[in-house]
Amino acid sequence: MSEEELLRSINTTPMLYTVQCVAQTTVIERSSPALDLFGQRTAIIPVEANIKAGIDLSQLKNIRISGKTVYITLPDPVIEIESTRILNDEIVTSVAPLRFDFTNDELAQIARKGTDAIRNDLGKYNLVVPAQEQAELIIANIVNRMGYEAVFENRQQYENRELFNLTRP
Amino acid sequence: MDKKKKRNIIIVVVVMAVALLLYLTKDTATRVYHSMFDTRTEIGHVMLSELAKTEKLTVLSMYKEVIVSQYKEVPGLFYGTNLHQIHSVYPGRIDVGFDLTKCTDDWLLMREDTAYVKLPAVEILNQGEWYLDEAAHQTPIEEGSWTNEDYVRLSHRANALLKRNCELENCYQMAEDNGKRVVRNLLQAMGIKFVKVEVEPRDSYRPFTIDYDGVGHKGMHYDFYTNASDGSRYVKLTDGSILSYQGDIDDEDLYSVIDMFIYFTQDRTSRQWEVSKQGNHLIINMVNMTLTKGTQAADTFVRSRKRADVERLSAALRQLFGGNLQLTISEVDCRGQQLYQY
Repeated sequence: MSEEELLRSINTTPMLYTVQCVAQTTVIERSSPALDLFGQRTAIIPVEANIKAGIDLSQLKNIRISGKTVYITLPDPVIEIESTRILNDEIVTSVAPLRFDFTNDELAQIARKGTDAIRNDLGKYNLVVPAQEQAELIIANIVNRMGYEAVFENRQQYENRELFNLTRP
Repeated sequence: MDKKKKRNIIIVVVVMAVALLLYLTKDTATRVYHSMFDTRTEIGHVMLSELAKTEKLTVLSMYKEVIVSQYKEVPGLFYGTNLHQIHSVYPGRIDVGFDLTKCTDDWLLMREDTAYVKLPAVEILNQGEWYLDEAAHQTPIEEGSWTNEDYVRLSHRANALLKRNCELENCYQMAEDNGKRVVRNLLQAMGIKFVKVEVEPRDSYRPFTIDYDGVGHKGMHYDFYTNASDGSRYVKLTDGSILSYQGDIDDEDLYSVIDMFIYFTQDRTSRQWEVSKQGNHLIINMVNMTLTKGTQAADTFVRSRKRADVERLSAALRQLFGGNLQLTISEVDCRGQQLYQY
């Protein structure tokens, strides 16, 4: 088990989530050709994932103050899947009389392929730039209320390959 | 020699046939060979909803797994009843924190070298009140026949149970304490010397916390039953008490009522409750098996003891369900006739 897989049951890292969206896809599962002699088994399963992106405030360490200006370098944004949902009401299954019906476990295993596909593509959804912009707005607002002016430095540009490192389970 | 050759040829042919069977198909797009025994999975396009901008300061994430079970009584083929069961494990996560869009205009004020911060009440920030990683759930035990509706009901119950478990672990208080610390650290890092943080109190909360032992509480375990022949649904406790429910009572309310049932019926003078909900009207009937319309003195004695319990119960229920709850608690005998209304 890698270190990332060890999730603590209670996580107190402060996160500022700034954008969110819902991703939806459909998984179609067809039975194996070898067993189609006995009739086909097909399932169509729509799945949904709630995605959000933001910044980890505990990593916000590069802060410089000179006069009435605060220079801030924001940490890398983080993209994560908050929750997933199998749209049980919209599942369609077709099972031949000689074959076993789909079990709940099996439906979940099929649906997991859909959410895995969403998880693997998290970096492609263009969430990073809006998340950074929104985070800058919120923090600038806080700094202005304190009577200072905020200047953001070194905003990172990411390529798709690097984005995969930003995703969290 | 001839025989050996023949045997070798047969072996080669069989091996090739099996190989052909296993690697018959090749996916041209991914260049992966499929066995004939593999299922074919196609994943459609990923559709994204419109990007919503939020200001959610999450200070506490709780990862949890809940086990939900359901039993179903099905009439047997010839006589008696069969018991079907399903047990699922759902992982999930609850994020607690502050929605900064709910801040008032003067939420951050500076006076000399001190910042006064007023934060809104802590709340659960998950989108759509959904906390489960439902695609990662597992159902190791599934006996008998179950429909899609049963699965839906199961996942909704797991969702409610996850929230309840987090609330019983005092997640709001932990989030509040942590949130104060986070905001203080953030502002101090930006050069403010003194920070005073205030958090608005929540308007509804659980009136008690129970020693949560992961299974039930107070050593009590309970199971959910449905009766397939008449469609009735009820909860059975380890000591034999029964709580039957009907109407549009949702899972969250149901767990609250079960908690109350365990918490407020310690002496078990009434071992059976019937709960129903119509809109905002919650009706609780305590079925009294022992006490029928007996002597006036005995009734008065028992009820005076019970009245205190019922008053505590109704106060707790009002706190939990909010102000616009209509509540009727009455005592009925085993034939359903009303004995007394509190």
